[in-house]
Amino acid sequence: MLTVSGLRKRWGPVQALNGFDLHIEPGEICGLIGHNGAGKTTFARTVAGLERPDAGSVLVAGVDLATAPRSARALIGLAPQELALYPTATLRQNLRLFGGLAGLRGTQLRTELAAVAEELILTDVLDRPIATLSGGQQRRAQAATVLLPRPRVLLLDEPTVGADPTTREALLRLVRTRADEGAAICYTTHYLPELEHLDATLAVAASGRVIARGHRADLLDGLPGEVAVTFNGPVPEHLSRPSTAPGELRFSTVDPARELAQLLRDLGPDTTRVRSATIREPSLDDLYRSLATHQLPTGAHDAA
Amino acid sequence: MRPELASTPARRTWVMTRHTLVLLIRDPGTPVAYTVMSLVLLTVLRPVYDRLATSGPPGIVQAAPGIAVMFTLLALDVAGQLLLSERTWRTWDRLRSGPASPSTILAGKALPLIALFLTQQAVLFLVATAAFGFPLAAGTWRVPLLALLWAACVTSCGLALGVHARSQGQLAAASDIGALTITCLSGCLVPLAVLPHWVSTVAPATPGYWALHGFQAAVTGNTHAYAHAAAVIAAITAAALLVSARGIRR
Repeated sequence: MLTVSGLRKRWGPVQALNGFDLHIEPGEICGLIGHNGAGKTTFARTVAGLERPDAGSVLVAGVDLATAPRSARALIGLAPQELALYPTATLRQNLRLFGGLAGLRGTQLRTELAAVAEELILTDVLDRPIATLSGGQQRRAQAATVLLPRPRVLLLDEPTVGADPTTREALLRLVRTRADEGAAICYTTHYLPELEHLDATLAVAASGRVIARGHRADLLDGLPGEVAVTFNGPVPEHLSRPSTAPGELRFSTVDPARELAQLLRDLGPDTTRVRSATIREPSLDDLYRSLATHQLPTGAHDAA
Repeated sequence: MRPELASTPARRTWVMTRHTLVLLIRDPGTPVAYTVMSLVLLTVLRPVYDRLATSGPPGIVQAAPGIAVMFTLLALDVAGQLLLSERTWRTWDRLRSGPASPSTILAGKALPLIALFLTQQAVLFLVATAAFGFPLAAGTWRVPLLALLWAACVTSCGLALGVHARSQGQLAAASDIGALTITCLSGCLVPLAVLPHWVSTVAPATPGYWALHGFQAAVTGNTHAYAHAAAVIAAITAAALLVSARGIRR
């Protein structure tokens, strides 16, 4: 549905996009993660037609953005990171504008407007000016204006920044619904649990390109998790691991479950000395942290 | 997946126009103020214009068009503000990334503004006719047509300012200084006959001069002067539209 190849964009001395490749299938939610300055927002703006790339191509459902920009843009919905609504107009008027520009009209516009407002818990505030809505309602209002026309490709740039749990839950539910309807969704975020909740595939951006792409399990394979054991009293001396705090052992390992089992075997029969034992499987947070030094997990493939 | 939605440029222009009307109606303070102020000024200054009109057409033929032109010029910032607000609200990028073309967006902004400036002039000319004897009937179709041309001219100049202004302060400075300078130099506020001679020399360089003289020519039946004024205003409108269109595509 969305195929981006070799996208390059330079801002003066900064190479914002440096051969950015990404393909997203219909119905797929692709979580685009990476540190600030990795090129995520420039990527979204370029795909949305707001920036002209120095090189590379963008195909939206087979339509080339370079040769048929208006047709391509008609298939894309962009939710920018910052709030971008008309504050003096009501939510209904904002929705009528963005829905109307996309081609919705008459009964269809009214029906779909009511439906998206209900899904995002906004029905009661449809006739209030945007400026009078709470922060969470404004976030949902922005999402509603993007999701209303049901675009084939959705670019959501940190849509839940500053959102309360109710807002986040409602947004994620509707994003999942749109994917189930067949939309290809690029979801940029720093809130990694959201991507797990959405069951998203991942694209890891760094230095203006995608350095890893795949399913969560593949990307996490090989990343270290953590084992933590606390004892009633001091850590037994015969355990061949250094104590991190009095009465506690905590260490990273690529196979936390096997390491904990081994540790309990080493402890011997006196397991009553163990107060608690926990393991933490590698998470997206671990993957994200590994980006700091570009230490890719063994399961990840280089997408560049 | 729902079938692709179909829309036409005309339909999108209508959607943009309707939304611009919403924005203008929700914040009507400035246009209403300019309309009321123009009526107040006309009422107060008409006797002064009568005294100044010792020769030539009566004072109201100077006063009504002069004040109409002046207050539409002062409303330049209303037009500029419409575009500048889009950037302040960050909605500009959302419009640009949508299916509407730049010309559609521009048309959707311009049409309600033209209607607004036309209404502003119509109120003033109707009051001037009813209360002070402005010879509107003598102008027949020429006054409404020139009012429409002038509304389009101010709209396109205001949009050009809005496209290029980078801040509220910049827009306010450009529109206020521009409007006041044009008003003074064109003879809209004070008749050229009583101003220093050099003002008459530079007056034709201002669009306000051509609007004022076009309206006066319309009601005095000077067809040649009317056509000349209308052509100059149309040319300025086209140039400003071009500047707006080029800026809006950036």
